Amino acid sequence: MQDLITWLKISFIRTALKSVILSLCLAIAATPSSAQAPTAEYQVKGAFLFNFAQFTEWPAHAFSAPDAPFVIGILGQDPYGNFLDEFVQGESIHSHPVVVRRFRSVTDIDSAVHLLFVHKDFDILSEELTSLASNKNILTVSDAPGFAQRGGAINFFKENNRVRFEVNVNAARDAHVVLSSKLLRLAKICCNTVE
Amino acid sequence: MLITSTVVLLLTCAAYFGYEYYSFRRNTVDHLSVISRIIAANSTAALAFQNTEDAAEVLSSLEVEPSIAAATLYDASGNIFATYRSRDSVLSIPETQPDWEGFRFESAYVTGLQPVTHDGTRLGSLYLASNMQAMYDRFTLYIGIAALVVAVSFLVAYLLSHRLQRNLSRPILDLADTARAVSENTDYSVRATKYANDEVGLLTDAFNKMLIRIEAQNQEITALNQDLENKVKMRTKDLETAYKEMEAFSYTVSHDLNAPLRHIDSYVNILLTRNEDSLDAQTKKTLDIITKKTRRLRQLIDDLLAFSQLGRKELIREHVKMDNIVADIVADYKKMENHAAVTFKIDGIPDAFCDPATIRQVWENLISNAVKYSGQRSNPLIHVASQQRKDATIYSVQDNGAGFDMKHYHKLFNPFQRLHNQSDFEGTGVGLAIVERIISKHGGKIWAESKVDQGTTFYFSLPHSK
Repeated sequence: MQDLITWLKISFIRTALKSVILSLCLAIAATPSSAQAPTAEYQVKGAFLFNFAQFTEWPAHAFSAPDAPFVIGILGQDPYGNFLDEFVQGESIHSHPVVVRRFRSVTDIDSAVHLLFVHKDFDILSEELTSLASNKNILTVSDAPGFAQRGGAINFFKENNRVRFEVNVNAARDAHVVLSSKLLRLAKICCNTVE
Repeated sequence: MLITSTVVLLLTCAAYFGYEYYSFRRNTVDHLSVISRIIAANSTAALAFQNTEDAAEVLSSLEVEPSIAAATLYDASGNIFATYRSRDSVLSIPETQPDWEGFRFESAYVTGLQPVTHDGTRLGSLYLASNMQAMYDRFTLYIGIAALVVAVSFLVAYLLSHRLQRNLSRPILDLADTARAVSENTDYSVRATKYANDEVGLLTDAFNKMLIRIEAQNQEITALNQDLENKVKMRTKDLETAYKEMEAFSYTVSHDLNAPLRHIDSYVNILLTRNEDSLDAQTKKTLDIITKKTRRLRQLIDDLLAFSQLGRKELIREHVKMDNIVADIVADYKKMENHAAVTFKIDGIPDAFCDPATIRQVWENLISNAVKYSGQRSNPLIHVASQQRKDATIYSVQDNGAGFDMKHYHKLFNPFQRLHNQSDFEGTGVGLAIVERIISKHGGKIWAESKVDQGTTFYFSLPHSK
């Protein structure tokens, strides 16, 4: 039974990734997002969100219990639709089950959130980002340009039509999370000098 | 010996290479496994974040390991994600991820497929191919070197043993050859060659000393023998000369003595016949005695002559009918009146291969002796008989006459020796000596048994003819 589930999961991830790569080959049109059908670009970003969590270590106190869920939060408009929910379905991060929660405002974030995607149109303050990191051990991610410079941890950008990301190491440190060196190898490091 | 050590050496080499080959393959697999796990661990982020440049960079770190011919990362769908090839590699890489895991040997390569996982999630696979050609080449070189070492050591061992054998076996073989030559040709002048001052050398010395001693003794014996032979020859010659001289002398003496005696006899006879009437009885008696003594002397001389001639005469052997001879002699006696009382008993007398003239003499002598010595009996009996033995026939002549004392037996066959008085029995004493001589010339024997006043038996044996 366990084998079957593992197999299903692997095949699911495979097909998902395959479609992502196929989509990447196409020119990515900057079409407005729809809640039900995310663009290929957001499918990639959704997968990346999950992978960021995989390559990052949270402090033990970030979880209320060993079996407490790992929460991926989406602040503002959700560009992923059902994709993200389906992607993390049955997955676990550091042996925590994964759940996706959506928030309208910063103040809505009352319970534990570990990784927070901030929509590029959501207007968030630097102080709010700092507070989220320092007080709640939240790794913040966004595709808004200059997000990392404003105090966010990870910031998507596009290079040669490919999704890449830059990392504000200080922000990650503020959140007391440890980014894997493998992750950092792939990232563009920014804002290291800002204290 | 050489074969045994070679086989041992080869087996050892084979075992060593077998073990080396096995452990080298295992080490290669272990080594490749470590490398592939490191590369796989470093490739997780690149696969997760679809960063092919990073993946290629990670793979390019394999440059430090020249034996890695190619490496490929497959993504989770099994498609090629990034590839690395060593500079001169021509190895073809599977287009899609192979469906096996682990390591396998394929001709000159060992290939491995390592899953790439992060936190329990499979992100893709790493395919590695390591070139074993260098290892195989080195191995071939090792085997070549080992074969060379075995060959060289074989050669060296062979040469050494050859030399050792020459030093060790040759003196012994030489010694054996010498010993054989000595025993086959009885030539004690040969010597074994000494090769070294070792134990075999000592043996050779001892052997040679022994040969020298034997040779010296041999020469001594030969010289003594030669000396002895010469002496014997000389003595024989002397004896022959002396014997001939004596024969000539005795013949001459007998002959020269006989002639005057015949004259004496003749003249006494003339004297008696012419003056028969004028001679008185006393003179007649004296002249009779002279005649008797002269005749006796002549008889003695005749016997002596016969005895001396017997030595020179050659025996002429032929088939002789013994019973005829005996019958002749007995018939002569029966005709004589003064022997009419004698009874002859003759049993079967077998024939013999002998000289008839001399054997006749033997029979005449023995029978005349028997007649003579039984003459004083009232009923003289003479018994001629024989016995067959394995290699000879024994003839016997028995009488019941005077006999003789056996204590004088040793004088019986000596010439001129008499056991009885001339007055009792006439005789010269030469007869039995002649008989003894004839029988011994025939290779036979003569002997006698006797008791005083009971009679004598003479036996003589003649060996069966060859």
